[in-house]
Amino acid sequence: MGQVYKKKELLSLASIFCVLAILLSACGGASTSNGKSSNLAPASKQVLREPMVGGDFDSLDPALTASGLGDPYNLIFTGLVQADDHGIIHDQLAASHQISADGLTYTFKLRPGLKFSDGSKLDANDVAYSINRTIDPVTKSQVSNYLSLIKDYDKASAGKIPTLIGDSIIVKDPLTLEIVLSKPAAYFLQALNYSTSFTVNKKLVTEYGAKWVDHMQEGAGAGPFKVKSYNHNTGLVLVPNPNYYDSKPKLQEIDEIITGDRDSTFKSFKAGQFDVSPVPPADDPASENLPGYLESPALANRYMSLNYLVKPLDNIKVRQALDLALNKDLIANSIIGKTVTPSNHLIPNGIPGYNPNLTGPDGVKGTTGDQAKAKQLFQEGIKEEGYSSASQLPSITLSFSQSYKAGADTMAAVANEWKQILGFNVKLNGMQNTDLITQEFNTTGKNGPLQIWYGGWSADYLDPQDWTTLFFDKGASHNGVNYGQNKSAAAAAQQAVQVELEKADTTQDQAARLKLYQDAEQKLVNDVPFITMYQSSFVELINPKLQGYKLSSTGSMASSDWANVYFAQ
Amino acid sequence: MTRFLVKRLIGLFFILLGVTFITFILGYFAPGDPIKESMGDHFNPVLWQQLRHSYGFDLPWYQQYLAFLVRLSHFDLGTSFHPQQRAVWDILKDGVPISVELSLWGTIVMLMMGIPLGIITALKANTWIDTLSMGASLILYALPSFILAVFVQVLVLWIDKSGVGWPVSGWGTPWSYDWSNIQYKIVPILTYGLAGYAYYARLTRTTMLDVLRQDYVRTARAKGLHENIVIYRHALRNAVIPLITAIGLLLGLLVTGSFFIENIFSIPGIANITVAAVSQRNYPVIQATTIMVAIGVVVGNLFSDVLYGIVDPRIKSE
Repeated sequence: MGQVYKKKELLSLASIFCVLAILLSACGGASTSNGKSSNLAPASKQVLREPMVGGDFDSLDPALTASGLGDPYNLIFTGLVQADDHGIIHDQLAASHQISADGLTYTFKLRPGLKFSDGSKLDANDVAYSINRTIDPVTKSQVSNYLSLIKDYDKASAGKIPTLIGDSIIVKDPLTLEIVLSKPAAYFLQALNYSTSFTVNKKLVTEYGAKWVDHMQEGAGAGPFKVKSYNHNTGLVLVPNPNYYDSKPKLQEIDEIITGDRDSTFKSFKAGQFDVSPVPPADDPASENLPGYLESPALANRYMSLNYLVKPLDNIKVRQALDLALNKDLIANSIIGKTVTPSNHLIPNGIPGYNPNLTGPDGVKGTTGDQAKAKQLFQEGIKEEGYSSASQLPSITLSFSQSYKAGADTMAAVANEWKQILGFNVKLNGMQNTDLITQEFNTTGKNGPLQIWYGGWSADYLDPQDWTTLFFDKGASHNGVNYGQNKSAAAAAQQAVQVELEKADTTQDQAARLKLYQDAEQKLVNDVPFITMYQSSFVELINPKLQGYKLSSTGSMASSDWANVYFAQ
Repeated sequence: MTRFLVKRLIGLFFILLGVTFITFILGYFAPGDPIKESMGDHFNPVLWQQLRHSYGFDLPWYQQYLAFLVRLSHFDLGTSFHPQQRAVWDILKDGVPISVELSLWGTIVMLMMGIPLGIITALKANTWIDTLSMGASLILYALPSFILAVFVQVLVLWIDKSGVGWPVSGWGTPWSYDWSNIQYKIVPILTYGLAGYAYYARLTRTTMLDVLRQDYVRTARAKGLHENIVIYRHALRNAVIPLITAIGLLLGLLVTGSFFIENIFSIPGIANITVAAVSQRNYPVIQATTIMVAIGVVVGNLFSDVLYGIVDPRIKSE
C-alpha cells in the first residue's frame, strides 16, 4: 500500500512538474530563427540598441518623413493596412476592406476598441483626420503625393478646398471609413502602407503644433511600441504599448541611438555599443563569416536613362549594344564591391512581381553582357541611322551627379567600355544632383538638355507600378526618356506596352496583375529605355543573441514581425 | 572704457547686419534649394512649387531678406529643413552646449599642455628636451585632426579588445560628469587637446625666447631676483600678450572649431550640424550659426582687448 501511495505521489509530482514545464514554456519559450527552442534572456536584458546612422531623424512626424516604410514609424504608428516582409498587404487598423466594382471606392471597417498608446480611443475620425492632415498644405509635407490617388488631392494640397473630409475621405460611422479615388489603382493599398496615412493623435498635434514630435511620449500613435523619450541628440527610446491591439512584443525597450556615419557606427558596434550595425563595404569581406551577418537586397536601383528623342539613341540596336557592351559584374565589383548586385531588372528583387527569369536585351542571360553581339548590333544600328562609322556620330553627353563618387567612377568606367568596345565616345558631364533631377523633368517631350544620364530610384511603396508605369507611361512625370511618345520604329510597340501597364495598374486580381507587369518589364528591358547597372543591398551585423530579427528589402522589419524579436540567454 | 565698449557694440551690430546680408544673398543665389535637396530623387515639380509658396521662397529676394530681418529682430531664427520643421533655436539649444563643452575642455587641455611645454622648452632651448618635445609637437601639429581622431579611435578599440566596452562614439549627457559620461567625453577632449596644443607650445616658446632676451629680464636677473620671479612675473606676463590674441580668437571658434572631432566621434554638436546643413542647403541653420560665429569672433576680440589692458596697463592708457 505504502509502495502504491509512494508511486501515486511520485506520479502526481511528475505531473505537476510536467504542467509547470508546459506553463513555463508557454510563457517564456520562443522559437529561434533556426527553429530550435531557446530561452528568453531576463526582461532586463531585452533591450535592443539600434543605431540611427547619420544623425537625427528627418522628422518623427509620419506625415513628413521621407523614410516612412519602416521603423520607427511602423513601431509607433499604425495605418489602415500594413505590408508583411514579402510586401503582401494585410489589414491593420482595418478589420476588413472592400473595393467597389469600379475600383474607385475603398470601404474600411475598423477593428472595434482601438486605442492610442495613452489609452484614448481611436476611430475612423482619427484615421480621416490623419490622412487629410498629410495633404493639408499647412502641414508642408514633401511626401503627401503618396496620397495623390485620393480624389481632389490636387485641389486640397494646393489649398483650393479646405479639407477632403466629407469629400473623398468619408467617415460613415466611427468604425467605417470610405476613401474615393480619382482613378482606379490596384496599388492604392500599397501607397496606404507608407507612413503618410498612419494615424496620429489629433490631441497632440492640436496642442503642440509643429513641436508635437517632442511630446510623443504623451500618446502619439497606436503601434506595438510607444515613445518613452525622444532627444534630438541622443535618440529615441521605445517601450511596449500596453494598448496595442495585437501580440505584445518580447523586447522591453528599443533604443534608437543617434550616431554618425556608417564607419564610426560599425566601430561602435564592435565596441559593444549597439546590437545591430550596417557593415561598411570595406569591412564586408572580413565580416561575412561572422555570426550575425545578414544581407538583403535593397529596393534601390541605379541605371542610365536613354532619351529616345536623341539620335542615334532612338535605334533599338544601338540601345541594346550600349547595354550589352557593359560587363556590369566587372564594373560594379571593381568600383563598389560585393555589396551591390549587378542587374538587368527594372523591378528589383523584393518587390512583388520580381521576375527571376528575366533576360537581358536580345535574350542575353546574366549581367556580364555580350561584347561580340554588342559590336555587331552597334554597327548595324548606326548604319540603319545613316552613319558609316562611330566617328561620324553626333556628340552625346552622359550626365551624372557629382555628389555620388561611386556613381561618377561607374560612369567613367562605362564611358571607357563603350569607347573600347564600340568606339563610341561620350562626353562626361558631372553636375549637382538637384540640377540633374530638374533637368530630367525638363527633358520630357524634348531631345535635351539630357541625353544619357545616370540616376537612381528607391521604392515609394512595394509595388511594380512604382518601377514601371511611373517611368514609362504616357504623360508620366518621370518619363524623361520619352518612352512611347517618340518617332522611333518601336514607338507603336512601346505604346502597346503603355496600355499593358495601365491595364496592370487597374487589375484587381493580383496574380494576373503581376503577370502583366512581368510581361511589360521584359519588353521594356528588350527595348532598353534604361540600362540598369545594379541593385543595392543591405548588409548588417547583429548581436548573435538577438533572435527573430529579419533584414528585409525595406531595410526594416514589418510591424507584425517585431513581436517575435527577443534576446536569447 | 564705457565709450570703447559702446563703440564696439555698435560695430558688432553693423558686422552682424553685413553677415546676415552676405549669408542670405549667397543662399538666395546659390543653385538648388533646400526643398529640392530634401526631396532628392523623389522630386515632384508640382509639390515643390506648392512648398516653395508655403515657405515664401517664390517672393523677390529683398522681401525674403526683410522678412528674415523682421523675424531675427524677434529672435526668431526660423525653422530647419533637416530635421524638418524644427525651430533653429531648438537645434542651437541642443548642439551649442555640446560643442562649447567639447571645445572648452579641449582648449583647457590644449593650453594646460601647450603653455607649460612652451615655457619649459624656451628655458631648455637647444637641449634634447627642447628638440624632442618640439619635434613631437611638430608631428602632432602637422597631423590633421581627423587622422589623429581616427587613430585614437582605432587605438581605443585595440586596447579595449578585452571588451570593457569603452565607447568610441557619442557624447552622453552634456555637462554631466558621472563615470559613464566621462567615458564618452575623455577621449574626444584629449584628442582635441592633443591636436591643437602644439600651436600654443610653439607660440609660447617663441615669445618666451624673445622676452627672455630682453634687457629688463637681464636686469631682473642682475639685481638678484629669484629665477621663478623672473620667469613668471617678468617674462611670462609679457610673453602672454600674443597668446591672448590667439585665445581670444579661439572664442569665436568654440562653437564650430571642432568639426572633425565631432564628426569622427559622432558627437551631435553644432559644428557637425552646421557642416551637414551646408551640404543639405539648410539655410536657416547656416545663417544662425554664421551669426553666432560672427558674434563669437567679435566678442572674442573684445575680450582680448580688455585682457590686454589687464595684463599690460600701458595698453589701457593708450
